[in-house]
Amino acid sequence: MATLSEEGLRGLKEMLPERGVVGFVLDDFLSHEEKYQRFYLTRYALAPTLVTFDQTQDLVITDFKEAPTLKEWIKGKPFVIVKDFKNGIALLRKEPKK
Amino acid sequence: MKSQSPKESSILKIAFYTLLLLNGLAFFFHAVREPHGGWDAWGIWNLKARFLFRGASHWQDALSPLLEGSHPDYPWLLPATIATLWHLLGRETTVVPNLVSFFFTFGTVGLLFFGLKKITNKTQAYMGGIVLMGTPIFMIIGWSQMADIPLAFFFLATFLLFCLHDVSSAPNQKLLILAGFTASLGLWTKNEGILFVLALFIARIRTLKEMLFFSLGLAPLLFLLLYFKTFLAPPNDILAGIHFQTILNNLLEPSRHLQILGAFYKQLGDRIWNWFPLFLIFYALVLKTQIEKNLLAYFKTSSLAILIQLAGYYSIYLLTPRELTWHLNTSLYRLLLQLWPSFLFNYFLVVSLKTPSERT
Repeated sequence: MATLSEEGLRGLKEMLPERGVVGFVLDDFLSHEEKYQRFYLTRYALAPTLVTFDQTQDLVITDFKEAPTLKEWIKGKPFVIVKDFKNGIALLRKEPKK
Repeated sequence: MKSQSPKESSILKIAFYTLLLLNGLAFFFHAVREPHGGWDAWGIWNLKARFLFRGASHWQDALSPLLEGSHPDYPWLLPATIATLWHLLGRETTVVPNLVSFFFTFGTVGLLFFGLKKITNKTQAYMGGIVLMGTPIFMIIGWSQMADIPLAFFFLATFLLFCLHDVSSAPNQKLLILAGFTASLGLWTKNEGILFVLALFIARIRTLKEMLFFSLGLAPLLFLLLYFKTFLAPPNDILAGIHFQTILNNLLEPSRHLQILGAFYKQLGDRIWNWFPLFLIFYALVLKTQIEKNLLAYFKTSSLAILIQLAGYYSIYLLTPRELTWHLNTSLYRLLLQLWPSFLFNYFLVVSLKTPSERT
């Protein structure tokens, strides 16, 4: 389980700064256990970056396996896609205020 | 009661080494299949080891309150050991936490075996080892790389050192200093180690002079823990959530007491223990249970300390701000497992097919 998560997040890890805090968003309607399992596995894979359920961070990771889709979620939000890894995982950056 | 023949002893020997081999293989295959261990391993212990190793000079990020849920206030023996070994190797590998876990799991079996062999005889030692290795949850938690097994190891080591001290005709204070040190390693492994030290002090209060020697061994890591808890770690999530009104409400809530007692009772017959607690109670009642005179002081200390520790666990559940059913389901078996090897050590010291005179 953790091994799969490690492999899935390898590309993302390389794009993160060495130190800092990133937000994390995942599918709606997940069970409590599944939600936290995916969250903790992401936190473990990306350490020492601090991963938190907070969409106000400059960098946010999305992990949508089913719903909503990335396109649906990002609509109207101040984020641009830095990279979509096509496995449900994407890295977003907050748009600078104009 | 008839004493055991050499044939019966050799059956026990075969059973012991077969279990050792099978459990060793099971451990290896599990390590290959799940090299990162179970939820608590990647959610808490190995995560912190990564912060220490990968974070380098920013290691204090491991104490960030943002790591809520990964218990940033927990002591650091296990993560620090893993990170140190990675540092010595010069790279991060899952082999290290697996080897550390292997050492503590089978080290606990070894400690129980050699402790019982030294104080009683080989038959008792085989019996203790067989029951411990035959307890499914012991091996599962072991290969899942959780800190409960290292803690169980340090609890057992502390009791064994007290026992060796108490049965010796010429008491050796060095054993008490060592017992203090092993207890302090438990203290630096998990928060339950703090309760264990308190339980030992209360259980041994009548021999205060001896406990001064114990304190000598305890002091270095106790001071480290105090520094860690005072200046580095965020507040404990359970303690921070307990308020006077909660305490009062929970203490006066009979259904809460019944639920906790029910959960403790349910563990006795749970298959994760292979029904051993029930069998052991039955055999203790059927067999002639006699405590040798020289074991009496030790037996009183250890039994009282275990009871105080259990009472402490009960109180934590009584006061926890978390949802009680979830808290009991996710942790009670692990808390009991921390004491299981020590309980088996005490049990097989006194419960035997042989009378004390036949044993020696």
